[in-house]
Amino acid sequence: MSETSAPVTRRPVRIDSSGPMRYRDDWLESARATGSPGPCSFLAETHMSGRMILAVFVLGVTPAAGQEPTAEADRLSKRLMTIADAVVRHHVDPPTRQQLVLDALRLLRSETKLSRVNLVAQFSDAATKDELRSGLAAALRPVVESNSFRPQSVDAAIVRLLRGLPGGGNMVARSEHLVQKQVAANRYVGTGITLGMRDNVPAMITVIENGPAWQVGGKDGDLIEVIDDESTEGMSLRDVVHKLRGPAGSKVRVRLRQPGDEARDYTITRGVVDFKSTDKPKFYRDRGIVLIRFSRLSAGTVHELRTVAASLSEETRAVILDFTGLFDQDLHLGRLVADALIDGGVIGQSFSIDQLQTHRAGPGALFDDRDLYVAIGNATSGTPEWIAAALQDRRHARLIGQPTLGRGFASGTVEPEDAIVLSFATTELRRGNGVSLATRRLAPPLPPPGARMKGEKLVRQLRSTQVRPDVMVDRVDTESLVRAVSEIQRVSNEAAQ
Amino acid sequence: MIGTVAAFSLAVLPASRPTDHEIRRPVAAVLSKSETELLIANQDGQLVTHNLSTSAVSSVTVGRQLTDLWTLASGEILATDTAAPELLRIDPASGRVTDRLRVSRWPSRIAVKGSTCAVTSCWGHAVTIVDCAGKLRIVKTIPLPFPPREVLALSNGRFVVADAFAGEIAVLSPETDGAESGAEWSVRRHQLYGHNIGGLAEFGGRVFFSHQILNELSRSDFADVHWGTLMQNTVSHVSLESLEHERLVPKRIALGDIGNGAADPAGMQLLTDQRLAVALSGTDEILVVSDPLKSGRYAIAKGPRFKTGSRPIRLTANRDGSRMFSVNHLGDSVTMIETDNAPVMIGGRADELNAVQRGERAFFSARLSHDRWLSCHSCHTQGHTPGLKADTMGDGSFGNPKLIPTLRGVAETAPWGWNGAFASIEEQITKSVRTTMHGQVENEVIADLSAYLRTLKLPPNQRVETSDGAVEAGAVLFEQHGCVRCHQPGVFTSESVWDVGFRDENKLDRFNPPSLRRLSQRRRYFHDGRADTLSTALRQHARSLNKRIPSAELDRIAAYLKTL
Repeated sequence: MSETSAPVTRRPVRIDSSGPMRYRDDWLESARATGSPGPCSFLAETHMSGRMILAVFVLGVTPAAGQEPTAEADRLSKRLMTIADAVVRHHVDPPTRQQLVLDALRLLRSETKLSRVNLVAQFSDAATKDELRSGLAAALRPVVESNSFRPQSVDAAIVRLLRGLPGGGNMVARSEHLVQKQVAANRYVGTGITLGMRDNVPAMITVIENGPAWQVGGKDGDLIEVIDDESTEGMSLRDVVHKLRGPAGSKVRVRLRQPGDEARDYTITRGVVDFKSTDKPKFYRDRGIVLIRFSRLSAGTVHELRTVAASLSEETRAVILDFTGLFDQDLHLGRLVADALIDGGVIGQSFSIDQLQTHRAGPGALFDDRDLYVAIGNATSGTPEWIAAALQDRRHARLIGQPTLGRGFASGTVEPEDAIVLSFATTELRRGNGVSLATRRLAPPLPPPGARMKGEKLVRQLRSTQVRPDVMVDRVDTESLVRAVSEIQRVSNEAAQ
Repeated sequence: MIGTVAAFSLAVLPASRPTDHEIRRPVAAVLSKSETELLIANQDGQLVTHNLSTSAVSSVTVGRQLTDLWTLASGEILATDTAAPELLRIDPASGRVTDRLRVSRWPSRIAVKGSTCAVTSCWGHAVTIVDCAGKLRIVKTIPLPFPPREVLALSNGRFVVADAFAGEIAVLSPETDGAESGAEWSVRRHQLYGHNIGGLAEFGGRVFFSHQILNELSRSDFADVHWGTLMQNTVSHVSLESLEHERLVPKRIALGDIGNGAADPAGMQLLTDQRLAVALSGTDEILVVSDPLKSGRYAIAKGPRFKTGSRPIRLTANRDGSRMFSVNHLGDSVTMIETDNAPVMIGGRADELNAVQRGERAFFSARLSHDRWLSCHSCHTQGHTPGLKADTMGDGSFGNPKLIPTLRGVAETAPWGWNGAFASIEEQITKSVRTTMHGQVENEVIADLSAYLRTLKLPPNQRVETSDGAVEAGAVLFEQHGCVRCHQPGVFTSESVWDVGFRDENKLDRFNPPSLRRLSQRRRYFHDGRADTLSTALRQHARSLNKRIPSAELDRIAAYLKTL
């Protein structure tokens, strides 16, 4: 909490908060032209005589003379500046540092339930990064002095800030990030269960086949009553996760019970859990179709696809790769999957902050002796969109389903502090011909003052980056996809005859 | 079924020979016409005869450095002596050389169809066609644009020849009677996606290639190694007819799987019931693929593995395929796998290996890598380079794959790494084993590897035709244009890193200049392999340095560089 409690004059600020945060320069330029603030913009920057000047659009309150930021506010300002710096330095389409700082401040005030005030004036004289940070520290003082202020308010505000960036973003603890990395590498170490709450008792929702819990006798739906001699009663799910996690080879004792049955005691040795990135393939032998549904991409995905390819009989003529539930995903993993499915040539391009890269597949492709279909839907986004577009462009697969989300960004991670990891869009994905799959410009030129952006326009902008299916299907559930492919195959076969 | 293993090391180590630290390095084995004796060629020039009934062993020196053997229909033996360089005809009964023929330099392998013999010459980039019906006689010398090693006589009268390092293959077809002097031979080239082609075989109307695939999009992090994405060990096969087509569409059989890699597949041999045996030279095993003709474009090999001596590189079998022998190049042994017999393990090399020999074994062993997916040889094929790029931590980051350098002559070119980050060769080895192969390695093994690498000699240069005086003029121009500043005469590199106008994806802009020696044996140039000819490389280099050098001068410099 704060060390001082100097009074702060608060005055409501005139902003339009109807839309998401937008960080495009065109808003600002338009605002300059009209002399009016944009719907979400508090300030703009301009360069004058080589110095950065913050132009104030909404008058606000300058901190009272003699006010000094508290140590807490000072520490927090440093943290926010570090995060803003990381975003500015690594995001593929970053907002300005000033916009980030002010939005972070606004979100923090929102998290601490402080009323809206004009924040811009406090920074009006900030010409350098140090001055910006000083201004931020001063503006944070009322936040940290607020009775509603909690340490988690800061994290919540940062997460909201990152999520508002083009392409979204997130902040996780480093320990959580390591788990994510393990899952992406399909080298997750744990007990091999998915965890949930059943009637306020932690439960093994599913037990991964051949995983450590499965090997000792854990069953789907087992309630976890005791962990290492400690009752789980009243324990949060987070605490349960924490207690069950541990390094490979370590042991955890659990008492499990199926509802209505007797309790069973087990000692589980934690180990590598083979979390498949695809569901068990569904064979529709009567139709000569196999469907592989993706839940994510991992380092083991190509191996999973190879295993399926090696198992196909001659009767299986069509393969459906179901990307309808696949979004975001690591670009490197996507590149390996695309390489496995495309027989040489260009996969696509990626554009990061200072380089444009063209990705090429090696010769040879899995399933090139079958009819390949990729199912996409309006949840498909990021790297999966990029793979689908590549397969479409190279005519290696027919896309079926519905248009994708049109958010072709790939995320990277930055570790600006010891304990946290930020992830946000560091790469824009493009088709092989250079057409972007990312909705970088969410907004058209600024509408007149007072007018709101038409939703229709936004939709049109999004559509331009969507990957559109070759065959539209009303629903993208498994049955509908298989039915559609079956029909396409039947028509093709008839035409061939 | 095949299930018995008998290994006998004395076949290549006659008891009369004093024990020393020299490994004979068997390179090939063939059965005598009666199939009662196994004849083994050792790299040290000895031809060893092992009687399979009595286990009696005899040996005779027939050359200086043998590389292959072949049994002719007459029962006579053909052998290649790469040091000579000659093709030898040997009477197996007496061990006497009855005929010898000088062939293209550095002969490597032999294949015979009827009376026509094809001899590959690796560093000479040529195949010598020899008529072996009577006195050995050269019919034709066919130059190739790549260094050939493995060769196979096809059932349709053609020969298929495989690149010693990268993935090129060529089909050699006689346009007229192939044995006629001056006969015309056509060359059809193909690209087999992969490198390190270690064995060839034909059956069931298909031609099989054992090789590796290094995925340039992959990176050498633990996950990509573990999941078999970085390095695939595979057998590709194509129909015999497709070798006459423009483009090959191979079927693939993946060797090894998660947790059980199958590094460095080498020689192959067809066994009874149409099973295919593949020597896994990196894991010291033989894998018997039970259904190599399985339908489908992609298959994962199923079948038993058999332990062999160190580095099995070649396989041979009796006519009905019921008895097979593997030539264990670094084990001084041959392993026999046969039906019905009880396992018999005979001897083994007892004398202690020196550091260089231990280092050589380590270099070719996949035990240094996670799950035995790859060995040092997998990327630095035969200590040289396949001309591929690999995305490793050698330059401190992923995302900027670099050309795999040759290790021949590497001891003299400090510092190491494209960024010159390694002051000692041991540092570079440690980094590679730990962060590329993800293996556990002790300092003693690093020292052994270092000792071995220091023995790797430069390959010979190709003979290059140049106009009069071009080389001498090129040498002068090389100095005049200041090339010597970075590529100092002697080893033609320097100990500093230099900004030469390039920048990789991670903003590395100061590069360790590669040695320019034996450029004629390389196929890609610069850190990212952006130039695939020396001429292109020189032009790009001049542009990046903002130097205006006339084209004719660049050609002379190229002529000079090819002699270094």
